[in-house]
Parts: sequence; structure tokens; C-alpha cells
Amino acid sequence: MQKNSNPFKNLNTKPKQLPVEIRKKVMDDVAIASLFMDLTFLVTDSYPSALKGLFKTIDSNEFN
Amino acid sequence: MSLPLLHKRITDEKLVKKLISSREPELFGELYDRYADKVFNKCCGFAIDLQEAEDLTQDIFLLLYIKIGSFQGRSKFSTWLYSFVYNFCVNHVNRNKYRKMKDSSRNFEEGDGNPLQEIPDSSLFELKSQKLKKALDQIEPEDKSILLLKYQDDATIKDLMALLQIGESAVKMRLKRAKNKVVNAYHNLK
Repeated sequence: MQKNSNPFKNLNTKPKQLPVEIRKKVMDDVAIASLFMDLTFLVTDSYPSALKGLFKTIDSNEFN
Repeated sequence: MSLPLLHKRITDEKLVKKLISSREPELFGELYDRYADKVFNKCCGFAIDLQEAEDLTQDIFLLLYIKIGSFQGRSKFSTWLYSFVYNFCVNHVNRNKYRKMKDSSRNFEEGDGNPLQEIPDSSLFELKSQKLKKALDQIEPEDKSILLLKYQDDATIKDLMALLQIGESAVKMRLKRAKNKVVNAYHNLK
């Protein structure tokens, strides 16, 4: 790989690959989110609060 | 021609437009395939370890599905996405009080009280990438993210104005401050 003169372009010389199993987890979460969004759209506009339990890195009481 | 093959040939912006109107998970899967590794590698720059980077990536894609409608096409989709990723990571780092205490060496302020210097891009490009990586870890994540958007992801001043919702002079001042901080951090590295 040719080195770029801009050092910001060379910060990550060994790019990592995301494990393939993450795709299934994301798509499962997306399917649940999609269902929640469809259902909650019928009764409320606050679907984000209904989805807070799906996140790993955000505390439930911080989601907005 | 099958639908999946059609999706693979369209631009990011057209794909997202279709996704916003249809909410089809299959379209989101295509977007995931295009950007999963790129998002993951950006998360690695803010996470403590690979597990945290994986968790961040997973959450970012879920939030992306929920918030995809907020993409208004004012910049390239990839630039908007990287800004979305950095925002999420910056919030995560700032939220993590334990890490804030652990990384007490952060909060590198510009110039230790000296006035801000105008650092030309040519001087910035003379920095060595491995040492630059360490210097970026020393400054505030907000400063790191604006530098990465500008110099790694090629966001223009106009893009940054739209993404950060601030004026041109404010963007330039934030860049100037961030450049000062990273250069000072770089020269203070042992």
C-alpha cells in the first residue's frame, strides 16, 4: 500500500475486520426496532424510549 | 436482474433515500455491508478494547437505522455517517466517567496558556502518523473527531458547517484550536 503524505490517512495501517457474527446481531436488533417503530407509531411518537433496552453502550436512563 | 444485485449497484445516497422511504431491512443490510468495517475501525480509535469497539459498532448501526431519516443529503452520505459515528463515540467517551478518571492525562489544553498559533496544513502533514495517533489520544474526543473528519475523511468546511450546525468562522476556530492541541500534545509526547 502506498503511503499518503497526509499522516491522518496512515493512522490505521492494519485495518481490522468486524467479526461476521455481528451482522446477524445488528440485523436482529434492526428487525426488533422496526417492529417497535411500527407498533409504537400507532400509539405514541416516543419510540426511542421503547427501544432503549436494545443498546449495549447506553444506560437505559440516559437514552433520549 | 434480482433486487439485491440492483441494490449493490446504486450509490449510497440513492440507497439511503430508498431505505428512508421503505425501511426495508434488506436495504439496511446492504448499507451495513458497505460500511461495517469502516465504522468498526473508527470505533477502535475511541474504544478501550476490541470488545468495546464491537459493542459501539453494533449500537451505532442500530441507532443509524432509527435515525437514518435525519440524513438530508447536505453532504456525502459517508461524511454524514462518519460524523454520526464520531458523535456517538465522543458521547460514549464523555459518558464513561470511570475512563475519564483513569485517563486523567487527557484534557490537553492548547499552548498551556499561549495564544493560538495558525498551524498550516503543510506543518500538520509533516507529523509522523504513529506519534500523531498517540497525540490524538491525548486531546479531547471532540477535537479528535473534527480533525479526523477534516483530514482523514476529507470533509470540507462547508460539510463541517452542515454537520456541526455552526458558522464558517466557528468551524475554522474549532479546527484551529484542535490543531493547536494536537500539535502541542505531539511535541510533548515522550
